[in-house]
Amino acid sequence: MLQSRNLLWPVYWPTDYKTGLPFTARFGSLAQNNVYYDNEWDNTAGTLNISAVEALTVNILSGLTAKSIFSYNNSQIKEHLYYSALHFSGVAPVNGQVHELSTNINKMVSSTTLNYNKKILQHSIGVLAGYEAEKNLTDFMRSSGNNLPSSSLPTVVTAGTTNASAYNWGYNMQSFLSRAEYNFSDKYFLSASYRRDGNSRFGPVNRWANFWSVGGAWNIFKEDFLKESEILNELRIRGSYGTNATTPSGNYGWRTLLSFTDKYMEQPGGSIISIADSGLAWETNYNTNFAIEFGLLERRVTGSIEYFNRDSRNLLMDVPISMVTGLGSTLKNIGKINNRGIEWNLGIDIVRKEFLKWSLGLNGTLMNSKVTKLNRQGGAQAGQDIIWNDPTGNDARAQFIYREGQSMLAFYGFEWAGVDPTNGKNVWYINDPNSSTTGDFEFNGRGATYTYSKANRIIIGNGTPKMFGGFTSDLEYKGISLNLNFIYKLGGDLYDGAYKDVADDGYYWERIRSQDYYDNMWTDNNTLGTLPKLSGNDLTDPMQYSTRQLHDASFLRLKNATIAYRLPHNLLGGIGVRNARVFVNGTNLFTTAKYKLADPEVNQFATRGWEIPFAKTYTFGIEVSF
Amino acid sequence: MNYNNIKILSIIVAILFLSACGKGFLDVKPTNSVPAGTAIKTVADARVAVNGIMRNMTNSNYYGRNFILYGDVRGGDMTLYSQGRGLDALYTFNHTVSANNFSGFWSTIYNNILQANNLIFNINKLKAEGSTENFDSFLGQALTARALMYFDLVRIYGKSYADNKSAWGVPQPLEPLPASAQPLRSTVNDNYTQILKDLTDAAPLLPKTKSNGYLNYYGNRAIQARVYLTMGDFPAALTAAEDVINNGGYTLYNRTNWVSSWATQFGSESIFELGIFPNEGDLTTASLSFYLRRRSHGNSAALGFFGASDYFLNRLKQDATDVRWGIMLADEISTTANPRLEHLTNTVVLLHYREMANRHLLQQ
Repeated sequence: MLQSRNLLWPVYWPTDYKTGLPFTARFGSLAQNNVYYDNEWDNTAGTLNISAVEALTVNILSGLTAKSIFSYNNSQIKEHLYYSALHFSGVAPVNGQVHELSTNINKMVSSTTLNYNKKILQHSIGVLAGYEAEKNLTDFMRSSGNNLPSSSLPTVVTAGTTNASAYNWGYNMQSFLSRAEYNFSDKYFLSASYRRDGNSRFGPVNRWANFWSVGGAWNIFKEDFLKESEILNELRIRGSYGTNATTPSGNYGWRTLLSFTDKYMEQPGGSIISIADSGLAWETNYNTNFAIEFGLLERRVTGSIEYFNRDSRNLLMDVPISMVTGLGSTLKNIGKINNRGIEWNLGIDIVRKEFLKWSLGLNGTLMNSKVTKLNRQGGAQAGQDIIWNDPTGNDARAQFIYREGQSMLAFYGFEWAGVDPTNGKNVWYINDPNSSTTGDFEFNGRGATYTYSKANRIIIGNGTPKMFGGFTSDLEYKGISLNLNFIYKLGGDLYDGAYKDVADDGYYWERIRSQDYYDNMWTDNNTLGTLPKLSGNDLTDPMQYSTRQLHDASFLRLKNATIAYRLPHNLLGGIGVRNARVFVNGTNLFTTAKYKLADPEVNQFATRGWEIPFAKTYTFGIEVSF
Repeated sequence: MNYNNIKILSIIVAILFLSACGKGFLDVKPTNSVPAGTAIKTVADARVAVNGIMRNMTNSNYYGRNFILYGDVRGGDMTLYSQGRGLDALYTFNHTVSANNFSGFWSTIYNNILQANNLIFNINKLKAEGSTENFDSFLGQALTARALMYFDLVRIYGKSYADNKSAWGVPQPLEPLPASAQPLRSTVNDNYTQILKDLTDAAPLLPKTKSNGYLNYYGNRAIQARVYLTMGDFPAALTAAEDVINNGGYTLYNRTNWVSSWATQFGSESIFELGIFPNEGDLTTASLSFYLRRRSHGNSAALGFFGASDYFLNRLKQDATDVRWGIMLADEISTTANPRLEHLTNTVVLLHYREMANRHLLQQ
């Protein structure tokens, strides 16, 4: 709600030139004078890790061993947070605030396995069976004090008023596991596995689940008919099918809980905070993989192509429910999603001389991800759509919809038609499902309106790229090497949830606007402007989820480049140095993208907000080893 | 310790750990909340649940801020200085499905109805199971609170009772619902029938003594007076109001302490007043008083959201001695000419004795 930002704050001088005192006024923004306030708070954190692993192996018979591992990991995180009475978080009536936080993370794993390995002539077999238990427990403790007597003594014990909190949380797991492997003279490989898992993140009904897999491989190159091949040096095919699972991220998602955070008039108060599905089931992935791996021409060309198909059933997600129940959402198994595609990579040694080496590597993933099935509500024909927000940063920067047959990252919103050249207003396509021309007027031959609330929301884009990957080039000449590492993305959309904050057309009149907005804004003199007229009279707040913030996500970026020189050994001989290397490294030095206003390298949801973009960095270094 | 001893010790530790994995190993319970089904068993538990209901009423979406602004801003007594500072759609009436729909009224009140329903459901269950504890006061408070919340909901989302009582009102669950439930709307008439039933069921259960921060018998009767008045049943409204006036023991502020009453808690006029205490539901920058402050007044985060409108001030100006001038301060636009409301207390008074008295006068 409080959205007006003054993005120029960081460049302000920290003191008022007239009085010599620090600026604390905010000049119509919600930003603070960070240069000043940075000295008025303190934050230190320390982590202590202790890890103990005890392993015991007993050889029972020839080939049969029992192994027992017990591991204990403990991380103790201590944090100190202090705001002086001058800091905006510590001003009156707080009068200085200090927090001491302690988080103690414990993980205990006990695993006992029996292993049997045997080779008889050309047959090798390996069998494993075991049991595993895991306990995770995190203890949290906080003590805080307000009203501190002295800025030089920021400790809780000196505080006028104190308060504290402490509780713990965790989850436990148990597994029974088994695996069998077989191979015949390293040519034919077969394997199978089965496991049964129990997890406290599920209720008693579906707490235990079974998972299994089978796989096989054929090393064709080992066959007699290929041994003599002049072209091929390696050829192998493999495939597997099996299941694995995802657990909910929350520890207690299946429990309907009543919490006690609602203190009232210094008395404890309790409220129900969830309406859970106690029959929550494991989200299970059914994975199919086929791959071929090859090497050609004395292994100058190597590569692999892999086909993958993953059906995720009983997908776990927080879904909206009728608010009349009292809550807005609950964790549920919502349906089925399919991810499939092809992953390929290719390595080529172009030059392989003593003093000159040059190799290229290329890789890419072609992917298609789809929502294949959603829960049906009360006998409906189609699955129920689920509208969800990008969880990144909790700023609702973009909105998606799960709809059967559509992409997993289907952006949802209004279709922005651009600016009406006659008056500079925003135009929205109506997208009436029954008629393409319904609307207040026609724009580019389609029904349109100036009022977004008359338009229909549709799927406006797809965050999944057609292909992504990278390529590398490694060149070395007499100790001098040049390594380049590019990444790329082709196709798909990105949603820029940040740009709208600096391109507001007037509803948030007090905001600062970007140069780009002023350059492209419709005015009486620039009727071809691609962004709307700046008008404080528009009461409709047109910054909705729409195609206005949607852009082509394709880009190519030089992620990493290194030039290095390795000093010849004869130079180093006398001084006891084994190796010396001088290098210059740069990251993100070059980018070309369809979308030019902001960093095109976006997160997994293909969205961006006000996070710090990837920086260009340069590193100079000398590596010496003795 | 030699190596063999370590080995033996580790085997012992591993075995101990294995044997610790009994039946309960996979039943991990949280330590900051309890399974809801077992949460209400005694009168002490019911008291905690009532505290939760009162606290939820102080939410900024409800009596903590928005519900109070809803009437004052949409009614035009308050205005805004600039768009985009927050909640401006209440003034511009710019509401759509996807933006500014103020669903907080719906979600917050239904969330609190769930709390009331859960308490009522559990008390009735405990009574049916033969509990001998006296739950009367808590059952009465939960029923009265539920009636008040449905009354607020139906006034926001339904047509007025006097206008068209057969129009759609709001869905009306009376028990905790499963997540899959999608109850439909009841009529305005059904809503009011239920509101009155809850209020009349609750009245005899409630204590008549004053209980700061909670509903008592007179709080219930005062709400009845409001509900009957809204329904146009003036004789019943009068009876309920007179019960409060004649038997409640509340007194009016005089002209001088009326102004200071805005900065005091639980005054002599206060019939039902919610406590908003520091380190609890203290809304600070999200509070009602913060939204009524002049820009940067007392805190640089105060954006100057709402102030008295010309419409309101022009009427106030008709009487230079109006007691309400005592709680007005200068606003952002002008330092002297346009005073604005300054809300000072950290409680919200929901039912004033004054209102009952005014109603009484109205009827005379």
